[in-house]
Amino acid sequence: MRPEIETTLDWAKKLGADESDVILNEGNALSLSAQQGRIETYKVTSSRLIGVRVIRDHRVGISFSEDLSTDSLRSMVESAIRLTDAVEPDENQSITLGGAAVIDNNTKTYREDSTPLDEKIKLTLRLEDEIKRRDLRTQAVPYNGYSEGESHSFYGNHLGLRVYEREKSFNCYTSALLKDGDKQALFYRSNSARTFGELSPETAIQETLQFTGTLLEARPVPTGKYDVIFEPDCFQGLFSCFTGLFSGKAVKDGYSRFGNSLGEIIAHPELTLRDLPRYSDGFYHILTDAEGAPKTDLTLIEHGRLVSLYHNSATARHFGVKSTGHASRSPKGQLGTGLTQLVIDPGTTPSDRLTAGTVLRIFALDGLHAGVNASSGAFSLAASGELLRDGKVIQGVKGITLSGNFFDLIRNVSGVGQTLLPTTGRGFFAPEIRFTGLQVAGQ
Amino acid sequence: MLNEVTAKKVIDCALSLGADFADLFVERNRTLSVNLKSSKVDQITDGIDFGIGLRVLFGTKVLYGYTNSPDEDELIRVIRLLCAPDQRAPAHAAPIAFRSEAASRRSLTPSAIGSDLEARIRLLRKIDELTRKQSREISQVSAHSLERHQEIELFNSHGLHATDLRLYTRIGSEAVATDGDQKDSAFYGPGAAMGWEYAESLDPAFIANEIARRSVTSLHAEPCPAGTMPVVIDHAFGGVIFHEACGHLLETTSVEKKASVFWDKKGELIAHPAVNAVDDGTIPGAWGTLSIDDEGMPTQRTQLIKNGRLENFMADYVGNLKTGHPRTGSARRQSYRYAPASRMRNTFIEPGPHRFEELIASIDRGLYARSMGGGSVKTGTGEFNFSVQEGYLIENGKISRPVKGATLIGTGPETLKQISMVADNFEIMAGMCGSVSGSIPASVGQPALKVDEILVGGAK
Repeated sequence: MRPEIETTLDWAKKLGADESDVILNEGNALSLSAQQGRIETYKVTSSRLIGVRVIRDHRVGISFSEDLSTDSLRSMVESAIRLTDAVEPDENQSITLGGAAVIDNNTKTYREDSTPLDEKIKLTLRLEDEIKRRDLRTQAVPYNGYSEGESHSFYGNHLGLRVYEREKSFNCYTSALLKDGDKQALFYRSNSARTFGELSPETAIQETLQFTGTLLEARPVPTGKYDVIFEPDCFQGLFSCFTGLFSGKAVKDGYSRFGNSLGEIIAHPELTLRDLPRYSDGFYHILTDAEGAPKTDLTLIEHGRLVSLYHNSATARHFGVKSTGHASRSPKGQLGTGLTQLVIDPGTTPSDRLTAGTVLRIFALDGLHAGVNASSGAFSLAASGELLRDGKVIQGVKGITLSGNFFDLIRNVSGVGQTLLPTTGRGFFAPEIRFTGLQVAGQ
Repeated sequence: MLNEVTAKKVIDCALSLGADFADLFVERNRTLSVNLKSSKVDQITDGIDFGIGLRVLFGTKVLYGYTNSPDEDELIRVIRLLCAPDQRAPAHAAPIAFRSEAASRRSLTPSAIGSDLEARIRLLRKIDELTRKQSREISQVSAHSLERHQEIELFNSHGLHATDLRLYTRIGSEAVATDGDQKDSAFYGPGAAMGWEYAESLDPAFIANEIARRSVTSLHAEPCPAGTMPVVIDHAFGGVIFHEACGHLLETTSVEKKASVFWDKKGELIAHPAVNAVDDGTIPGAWGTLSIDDEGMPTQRTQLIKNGRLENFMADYVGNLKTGHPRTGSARRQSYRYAPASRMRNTFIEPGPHRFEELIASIDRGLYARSMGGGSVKTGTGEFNFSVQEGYLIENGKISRPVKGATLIGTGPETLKQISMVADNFEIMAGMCGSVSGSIPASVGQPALKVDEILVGGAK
């Protein structure tokens, strides 16, 4: 375990903290991008950040530093202690988890990789070159690149609990700006892996060209109500805007309406939603949360019924339940809650029934950071995709908005597909789901 | 923060390895945030970020790295690592000498950040108290103060040595309104490139009224009708339409890749002649104002569009090298972790001749977007979207019922030509802008605008 953890905890004790914990994150990364057949940017970075949370008379103080010298660590702790004077007591925040050290050297999220730099440069150049070569309508490949990074996360608290986890990831992405006469379209796609060799730039290239080609010929559909199926990445983007509503913290703070809904039907009976931190097909494999508590599988919605919220230790105490191991905290921030890998169970609807009649398949939603109100559930977003009739693509679609309400969305389902589909980042898994009656503004 | 001798050795090392240009961006940030929720001081966070960004250019190829250590050996190690793939015989014979006259463009002393925590808490409590008094439907209020003191020091191989101190203060407030199991929320976040004195100049009653009115209005509003219609976008944060629809497309970051629909349109009519647009980094105290940009160039006022004609792009050093467009003091980055890129500062459409009421009166059926949320743009195609936080229908020349869930979409080139009336009620507003060099403070602004036709998304 890193000595800075011990030094910080020692200072916290000496300076009067009743309880304390420390998070130290370290990482390094490499990224490359290409333009006009040459490497345009080459970025090599290393970073480190330590943060302390002290609790004194049930008052919490948080401070952080990027300087790990002994003097800075002491100043950081002094600052956190000082801040406790100004904060009001929170009886629910307490660091109570001791126990043996959890050292995770698992090979699922961290695998040694000695690929030479030349190979990475070659891959980066390919991400631009292949797009231009395969589609002569390419005006530019404005966004492309390769990146890799590794991170090491250390946790320690005054009760002696120590946790170490690490991960390494590799990513590539590309885009195509296609132009044909007055028509233009831009789309991008990425691919992630745990080793360089597992990366699939071909997938990113093919999907980029496929989706951009569709968008180039796309046009708006008439304004009206449509049934909609979301492509997995797109569905994750929309769904993730609302998953905070299932957090004990959001309910406690009055941001979520689900406080009185436990045990009630809130979604279509065919929807089951689970958080699986160590899902075997997933990209992640997380042993502990930000309080060092073991991560375990959690069912949030079972056959449409809300069966649990997700909690950290403080929200669990507030509601008089057990923590579900969903604490999140960066070295700079306060104790929060967070999910890991969401999985929506497959259903029973065959593919041909799922796409029977007229359906919009949406593969891009823009404006998720602004066009969504998690409190009210309302969303109104720019969208693009394709119009299907009895499973066949009739036309590409763009220049439309898609509007609805999350609370209605998860109830108004007419079919749940039988095959579980991953997102490109493999952090979210869902079958195709046909949502009914969403409002589209178009022609 | 970094002595000149070390800086010189590091830059000399880059040049000796064949680099055409090198610069160092040294940054120390002190950040204090105070958060009040449920009428209680929920969290106070205080901390320091420190790091050095190192950039090396071989031609127009950018090599970038950063480290948290000011140690000479570490900086040289990073430079050697960056230069390794492109190392060649040095092109620069003479060693650099820093120009002292470029230093210390600003001589502010950092006010004692956080020295009076009680003052911060008092203001937040006042906002909380006044907001809750506005309506019994207000079920939650959170108020947040953020202060950031950013010290920067720049060295480059042209001999520049500059320092700056930037102060930022922002007060963000959010109200949640509840009626049965229906909830809605609204946010308001004024900010300035000033110290705590800015927060003290704010009127808590105004903030309380804004977030209470918006959240309660939205709670009871009906869904916005969908379709193409005329829209009046009100002043202040309404300027996000220009920021998204056009501003990003005028940054050389997009232009240099031809990933902007305007990349070859300089001198051409790209907007309605009623439109005059500016990106101005010199407005005293404004949220996006700088003394010098993140490459050490004094910032300036840049006329982007004059009477509908494209006059200038926003360019940084690399953007200038790649496109030939003159530098405009627009190089910006979130922190030392990012290489600089051409970015907006305070971007706005200038006031026009009309009164606000004239814009409304000119519409039989349309939408009045009183306050805007955020938005985004695809620079390559100009397709943008942004959300309406508080909207009302316009019927028979008058503002009528509130509506919610409205989104405006279009393309920059089309929408700029649809702006037919510009009012005289100009105001700018703070926001955060995310792009290639991270999330930075940027103001948007405008007077009220009438867009003759735009696609409005809504749930009805």
